[in-house]
Amino acid sequence: MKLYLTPHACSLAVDIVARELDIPLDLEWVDVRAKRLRDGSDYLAVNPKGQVPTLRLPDGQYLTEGPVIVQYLADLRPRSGLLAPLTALERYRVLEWLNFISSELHKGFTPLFRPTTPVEYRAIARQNLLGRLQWLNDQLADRDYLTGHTFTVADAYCYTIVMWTKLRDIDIAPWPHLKAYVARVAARPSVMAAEQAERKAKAAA
Amino acid sequence: MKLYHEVRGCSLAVDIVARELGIPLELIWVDVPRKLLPDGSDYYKINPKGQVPALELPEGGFLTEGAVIMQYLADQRPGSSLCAPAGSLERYRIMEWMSFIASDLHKGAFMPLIKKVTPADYRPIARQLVLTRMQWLDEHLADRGYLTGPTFTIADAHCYTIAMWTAYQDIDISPWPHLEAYLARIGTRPSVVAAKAAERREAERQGQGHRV
Repeated sequence: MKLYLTPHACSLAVDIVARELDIPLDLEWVDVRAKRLRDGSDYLAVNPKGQVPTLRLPDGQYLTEGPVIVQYLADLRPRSGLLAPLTALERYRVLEWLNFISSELHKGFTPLFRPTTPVEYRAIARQNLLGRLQWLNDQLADRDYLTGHTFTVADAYCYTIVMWTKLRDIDIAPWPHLKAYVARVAARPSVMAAEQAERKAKAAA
Repeated sequence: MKLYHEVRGCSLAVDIVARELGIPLELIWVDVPRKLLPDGSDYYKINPKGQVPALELPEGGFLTEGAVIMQYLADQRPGSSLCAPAGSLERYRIMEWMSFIASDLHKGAFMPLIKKVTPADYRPIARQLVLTRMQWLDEHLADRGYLTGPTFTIADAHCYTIAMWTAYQDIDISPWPHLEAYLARIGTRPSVVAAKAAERREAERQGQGHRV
């Protein structure tokens, strides 16, 4: 399978999950601004929404939306522990986190990355985001990972998005539980390898 | 089960889905701005995020996030056509749509228009995001009855609920005939008629009948 991704995008979460599961993926780096692949071809032919990640499935179809791709991959390895079995309540708890991260946290960052966002709204968006990070920190006060003692696909996604604080000069030091969580996840071999691949792609670009 | 609901909330999609599945839900109307339940108690005790929907589970506890609650309900009726079986590619396609609707359409595009604190200079940007996504939905619906094919699924209940917010924002959908026909088609489903009637009764009870 092939993963279409971009450095510093939420597609990192998919690469982390694939490495956790030992599912080999070909990485195809996309210029999401120009909507071009490295060979110059049109990325919109792969994903008409123009976003990353996209996963090319073994039958040639494409699957989009990071929170869904990580579920698809984890379901290929049902005993991995990365995602609870289908229809178990623990599964919905992971999905609940994925949905929160994608709609509140990820989309909360988006206005800060969009160059056209006016200054006044930028301040509001930033304030909203700080509220979400505070909430995350509170949730992590009594557990190592979002849903309990074990790392799941939701943690791969959460880590990826929280790391964007670095890109926007948001210091997470005021939130000790969140800071410890990020450090814990960052030390995983899957995360180190995925981040290494990003650095290499950036250097080659 | 109790559904914590709000007039004009995305929780409407959950009520539609429950009615489609024949799962009776008790509707609890939340004052979301003030985070209060009808008896004056604190809604944060139900959902610490302060948002609707939340579903009270039979085994105790609450499930939040509309897109997840809809899957949970559909999974209680595994033979229904409302959602493909867990693990099938069709199921991931339904989730793909719901992820797009929850993140890009609801939060990315509509939310800044709904929030009163959004400054005037950001509103045209958010409005353009809505228009672009409506255009994209319209193109997708050109050759199919529903988002994932010929049958109505939980993704359509979700999409209908959010796309209908165009009316609240005075966005005319007539430039998108496929989308307009799709919303009209869904609007006649008995589940949708009943869920909207319940919403209207509550709005009228609050003296806000004009809002829906």
